Formats: sequence, C-alpha cells, structure tokens
Amino acid sequence: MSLHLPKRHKGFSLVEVLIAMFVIVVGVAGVTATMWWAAKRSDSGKVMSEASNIARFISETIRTQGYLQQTNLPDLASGLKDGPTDRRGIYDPPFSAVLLGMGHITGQKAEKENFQSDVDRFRRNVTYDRLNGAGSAHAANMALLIVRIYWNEEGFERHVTVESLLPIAPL
Amino acid sequence: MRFLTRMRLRGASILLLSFIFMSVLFLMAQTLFQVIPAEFHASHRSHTDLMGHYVARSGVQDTMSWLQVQMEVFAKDQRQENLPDYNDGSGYPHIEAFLAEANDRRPFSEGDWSYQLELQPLQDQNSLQNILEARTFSVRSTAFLRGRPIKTIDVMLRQKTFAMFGFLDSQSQGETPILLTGQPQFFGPVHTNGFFNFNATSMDWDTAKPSFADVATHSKMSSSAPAYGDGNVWTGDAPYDTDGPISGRYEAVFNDGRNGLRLKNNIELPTNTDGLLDQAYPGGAPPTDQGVYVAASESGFVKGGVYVAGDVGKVNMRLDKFGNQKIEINQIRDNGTKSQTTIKKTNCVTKKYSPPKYGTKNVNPCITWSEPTGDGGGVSGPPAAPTCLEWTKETYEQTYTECTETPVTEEVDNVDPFETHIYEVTESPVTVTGPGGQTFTAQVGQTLVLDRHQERQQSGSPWVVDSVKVLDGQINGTIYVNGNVGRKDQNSDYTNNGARQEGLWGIVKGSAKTDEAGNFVTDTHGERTYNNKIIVTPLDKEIAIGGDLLQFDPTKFKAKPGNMNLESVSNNKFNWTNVARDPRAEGPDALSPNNQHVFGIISKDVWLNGPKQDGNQNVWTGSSTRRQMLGNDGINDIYAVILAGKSEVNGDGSPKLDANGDPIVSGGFGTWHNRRDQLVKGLGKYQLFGGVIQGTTGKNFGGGSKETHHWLDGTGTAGYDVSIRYDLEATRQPTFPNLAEFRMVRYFERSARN
Repeated sequence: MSLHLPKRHKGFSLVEVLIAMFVIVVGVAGVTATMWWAAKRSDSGKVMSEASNIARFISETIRTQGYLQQTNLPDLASGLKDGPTDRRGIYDPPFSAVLLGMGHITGQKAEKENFQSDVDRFRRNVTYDRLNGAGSAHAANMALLIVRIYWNEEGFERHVTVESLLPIAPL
Repeated sequence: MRFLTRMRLRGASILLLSFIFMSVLFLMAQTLFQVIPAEFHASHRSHTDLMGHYVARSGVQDTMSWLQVQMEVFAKDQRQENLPDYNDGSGYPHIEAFLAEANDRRPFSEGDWSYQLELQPLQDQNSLQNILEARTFSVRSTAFLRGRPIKTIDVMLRQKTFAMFGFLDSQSQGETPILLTGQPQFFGPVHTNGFFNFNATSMDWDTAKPSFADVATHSKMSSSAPAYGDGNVWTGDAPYDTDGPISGRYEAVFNDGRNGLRLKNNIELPTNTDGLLDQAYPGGAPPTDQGVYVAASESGFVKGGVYVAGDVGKVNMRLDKFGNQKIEINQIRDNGTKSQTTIKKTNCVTKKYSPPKYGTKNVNPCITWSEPTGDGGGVSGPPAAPTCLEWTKETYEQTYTECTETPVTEEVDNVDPFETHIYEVTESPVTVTGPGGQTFTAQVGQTLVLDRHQERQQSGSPWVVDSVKVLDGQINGTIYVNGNVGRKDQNSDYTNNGARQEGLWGIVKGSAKTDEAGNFVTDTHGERTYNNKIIVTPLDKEIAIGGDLLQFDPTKFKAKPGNMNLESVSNNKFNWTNVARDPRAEGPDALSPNNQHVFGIISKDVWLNGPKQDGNQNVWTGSSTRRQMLGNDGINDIYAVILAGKSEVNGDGSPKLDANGDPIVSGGFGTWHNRRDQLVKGLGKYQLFGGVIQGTTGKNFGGGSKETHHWLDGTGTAGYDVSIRYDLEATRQPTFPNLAEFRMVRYFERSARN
C-alpha cells in the first residue's frame, strides 16, 4: 500500500510570515530609533561646538580688549559682568558681531544676519573676580574669567564653560 | 513572492532570511551607534581641548604675573634679593616658592582642572641690572583634568624693552588730539597711561589708511566716553554707534581693527639709571671729580664704557678720517688755579629828608558802626560786621633808601674748556702727539683717550694736550654722563653748564665687541659684531640734541673709495652721509639693517635744539658752529630711541602718587619755549628713526617749560614738526631699559593626552 502523504503546500505559513514581519519591524524600529537618536546627538555636538566657539570669542575679546585692565573691575552695571542667574544675548553690549570678530566670517550683511539668527539661540553669562590667593601679591594681579554659553535642548538648559586666568591691573 | 517561492523551494527559511536581514540592520544600527556618539564625543573632546588650552595658558599667565611682580618689587626697592633666580648653581628659591604656591592653586570652578608649571631661567649670570638685562625664562604649563594631562604649552618669556614702542606718552589724556585726517603713521606700538584724544573730523573712513600699524593701548577710560564706546575721546566722527563698533571704521584707523585699540596696564617709567651706570663704570663707585673716565683694569684693558662726571657742553659723535669712531666730550672745569676778581657790593641805608617831609597815615582806633540786628517785624538776623566810618590820622616823617656800591676783591676758581677725545680704533691706527711731544699710536683693537684743555683767559689760545692713554680692547658702548648734556640755561656760550652748548650730535657707530684677549668678536660670516651705543644721564638731568644724529652704515663704509677722508674740516656731515644710512631714502634703505649701530638716549628731559631751515626767523645764532647738512635742508635726522622721563618715587622707593592716586611722572621730549618761532612755524622739522618714550607732553604754547609737538602734517603753527619712522631694528637694541613686563617670544602648544 502506498502511503500518499499530502502534497506539501508551496509558500510560507502564516506563522512564519508573522514572525518574519515581527523581526523586520523590530529591526527597522530599532534602526529608526537609532537614527533619530543619532541625528539628535549630532545636532547636540554641533551646537556644543558652536557654543564653545562663542565662549572662545568672548574670552579672547575680553583678553585682547583689556576689559579687565582696570584697577576697579567693571561691575554688574557695566553690562560685562553678570550675576549668577543672568542670561544675556551674545551680542548685547559691550559686545557685537564686529567686536567679537564674528561679523567678519562672511563679510556679507545677509549672511551675517543668518549668523545672527544662529547666535540668537545662545545666551551668555560672564563672571570674573580677582584671584586673591594665599596672600600672594601677584595672585591679586589676576582674575578668573568664567564664560558660560547656554542653550536649550529638549526643554533642558545646557551650557559649556570656558575658564581662564587673565592678568589685570594691579590694585 | 515568486522569488521567495523559489528560495523556499531551494530549502531556504524565511526565518533565516529575516534573521539575516535583522543582522544587517543590527550592524547598521551598531555602526550608527558607534559613529554618531563618536561625533558627539569629538565635539566634547574639542571643548575639553579648548578648556585645556585656556587652563594651560592660565598657568603661563600666572607665571608672567609673578615675574612681573618680582620685577616691579625690585624696581621699587632695588633689593637684589627680590630679583628672580638665575642659573648660578645655588638653586632657585624664589622660583620654587612660586611653583609650590601656583601648582597648588585650583582656581577653576568647574570640573577638576588644574595646571602644573615648570619654570627655568635662561640667563647664566645676574648682572644685577634690572633695567638693563632683558631676563628670559622658559615655561612649561600642563593642564590636567582630574589628574589626566590634556594640554601642554611651552613658551619662552622675555622681558619687554621700552625700545619696542613707537610712541609712549605717560600723561596724554585730554591733550593735543591726534589728528587722524593728517595721517600720522604710527608703525610701532603706541601707548598712553591716560586715554587717547582722536580727531576724526572730516574723516573719510572708506579711503583712510591705517594710522596705527601696530597696537595702540591706553590705561584709562575717559569719563566723557559713552558706555558703548571704547573709552577714548573721538572728536568729529566716531567709529562706533549705540550698537557697538561700526564695521570697517576701526579697520580704517587700526591695522588690526577694533582689536588694535586696547586697554592695558599702566606702564611705569624707570625710576633710575643705576644699572646703566654700572654698565659704564663697573666695579665700584665712579669718580666724583669732573672729568671723562674710561674704566680699565690694572693691565690697561677697557672694562666698561665711558663715565663722565659733571655737566658737559657737547658730546660729538664723530668719525675720524679713517672711519674710527671718535667721541669728543667738552666740559668747563676748574683748572686748579684761582684769580682775584672784583665785584661791587651794594650797601643800602635809610635816610630822612632834609628838610624833613611829612605825611599822614591811618592808625587805630577806627570809629565804627554796626548795622542793628532784626527788623521791624521782629525777625532776627546774624550780627553785621562793624563798618569803619573814620580812621584816626597820624602824621609821620618820611624817609628814603640810599644805596652805595663798594668794590670788593674776591678769590674765584678759574675755569677752562676741557675736551676728551676717545678713539675707538677699529679701522686704522691712530697716532697723536702727547703732552711732551711724545707720539702715541693706538693699533686697531685698542682705545685711545686724549685729554686737552684751552686757556679760556687767553683769547684764541691753542689747545694743550694734558694726557694720552692707550688701552687694550674697546668700550662697551655705554656713555654715562653724571650731569646735563648741552644744557642751555643762558644764551652765553660759556657757562658752568658747559662750553659751546652744542649738545649731542654726530654720527653713531656701534662699539666693536672684543674678547678677553682683545680680539674682535665676529659672527658666523666673519663680520665684526658691535654693541649698540647708548647715552644716559641720571633721571634728574637733561640732554639737548644739537643736530643730526646719523647712523653708521658698514655696507656703505666698505663700498666707499679708500682714500675718502671722513674728517674734512668743512661739511663734516656731508662726508659722513657717505657712510651713513640715508634718511631721505624711502623704504628700508633709511632704516637700520640690524641693531648693532642703533642709538639710545635716556634722560629725564631730552630737548631738540638743532639748527633751523633757511628762512625761518628763529634760527639759533648763538653759536658760530651750527651744524647742518649740505644745502641746509632744514630737517634734523635723529636715529635713536629716546626715553625721556621718570616715575617719581618717595624716599623709601615707593611710587609717588598724585591726589587721584596716579603715579607721578616727570620729564619729557620737547624743546625750550623761548626757542619758539613767534612769527612762522616752530623750531623746524625733525625726523626720528626709532621711538619716543616720555613722561609728560608740554601743553602750554605760551609760557610752559616745553612745547608740545605736531606730527609732520604741514599744519603745525607752533612748536615743531616731528615725524617718527618706526625702526624695527632700533627696537631690538639689547642695551636699553626694560619694563617690568614679559612677552612670549616662542610659543608651542601640544596635546598632552596619553
């Protein structure tokens, strides 16, 4: 007696297809999430670099312009020094695009305005004080300059900080 | 589906395919997980590097600040133990104390940043001359983040020299505006301890050329400058508005744009020139008797420069016929004899008139009246002062004073003109005749000193040689005059302040360097090397520049005809111009090719007293030996960096301050107001190749002790015109006072990550 087994169906079973679809969906979803996250982190890195550059511009401008070369360091009313919670626009006086050297990036007014709009997302906070260290005469001739650049990311305030010591006018 | 069916028929599993596909996606995702965070990490690392850069540089600034304080402390108290260490083999106690403090300092608020410093002095000996020797240090500063090295900066620090400035005015705030439309060109650094007063009236910002090729710094802010300005006064148009700098305007004036105008620490002028005295006359107290001295060892070897005790009438930097530098110094000295002189003494007595004369005068008591207090309304006021209504009169007898002159004979010291000729024999032997007719010859490499005098009492008397000395080696280029040079207190040619007030003029050649054996020191090309010359006085004396001060040009000297006599009787300067830099040349031919023949002039006051151009009415005719270039082109050419001024100090060495707490400075660069032309232009035109560092600028045209100057723009109506051509090599003269500041002469930054 010959046993006739039922002829196997060509194609995939529903279970196989469902499992396969599940695997693919999970994979694609993972990759998509990764790309979304990666894109966000990439933007964060770019913003952080921009913030670092702006902090550098401000630090260098304060140094080269000698803003702190005065026996009485500029106070809060000067617009240069900020309180702990102050957040000023990057180009608020006494700074400007020209003074910070950022107006010369393109030399074109229209492009400067574009740059301006990029800068608008950042806020600055500048503080400084004489470094009165351990009774040292020369320590009082230096100031610790702290430049913080703030921006918002996903509802959180993020910042970069650049600190440096600058020689200042003796007391 | 057909494809999948075929795959199925071949035994493939869709699950397997799915897993393969998922693996590919997983690999892609993993790649993204690697790449994107790496980018983020890179930006974070970039920020860390930036912070590391600033932290490492903070260490350098810390070191520079410490060195500056050390030098300032020394400048004030002159205590050698306060100088920074040097390599004398006895360790570095100052440096170690500083490093212990600095390396322990954690000033940074965020993270765990710190820096570690290494500081190594590069000078092997301490000349004990804070104002003379430019100290050099090597510094390594490494930034650490939580103990991990991030960034290292290696720098070489060198003390700044005052010679670096194109123009430094210690007290210029509110003074004569710098007229920018006149296009004064400042090629070197410019500084004022006050603030600038710029006049930009009628300024065409689009076509203006930079007037400040280097940085312009100021130490104060004008109270009248707006908050959005730069702290200086701008008359006319300003380069900023309420939004800050206007693009292109600062660039029109300052080569470096807005960064070309900066605030800077106050720069204190030297308080003394003791270091240079030690350079001119090393090894002990200098002589006090009037005279010219060349310090020499017992074996007759020159061991310093030239020291002059007392005022001198002239310092004439000449070339002899062979091209040897010959320095002529003239003084009026006591000749050791006395003479009787008759003077009239006045005796005055009070006498009464005969017959008597009488007069009346008011004497007390005075009949007075006081205004009653209060009024009819009952209001009281303060008591009124009594009014004198009538004096009591008194009669008295009038007198007069009668004076008589009585001749009185007194004994006075006799003075004669004395001259010293110093030959730096570098080109050809010099032969002179000594006091007894003896012949003296100085060979190349030696120095000849000849003293002579003239009997002033005998009109037209010949010069009599008093002594001749031949010394081995060469002077070191420093001429220290412990008195005034060419001071002109009176219009007389002969005063105790010097004879023939010619002041300082001539052609300046560096002093050839010789080794201990007296041989010339040569460079790698076999060329002789020279110490630059410098003339200096104590900082309560004056130097008058009486004419051109040219600069010797060794290249032109080599190319001159061999038989050219450089010491012809007439037109000396014309001959000298054949071997001097050409002040009329455009470009580098006028400037110094190196720092070996540049000149430094240091005194409290440096006066311009040169001849005038034809046609001007204030030509000085007090001397028959006016010096001028052939053709009298009217411009005095001065190759020198001039430091005229001092910071005043109290007895304890502390700085003297004015009512505002600012350091008091004195001295300056100018000219006597009584030399001013009352009708046309001022005292003429001067072209200075070098720079000016001065304490004060005279402002009072009418009666001040000095005149202010105008930049050579053709608009000057008083004072004199002077243009300054910044001579880069002149700023590099090694013998010149230094500031208590350091600059980086080498900078190398690298990653310190492991």
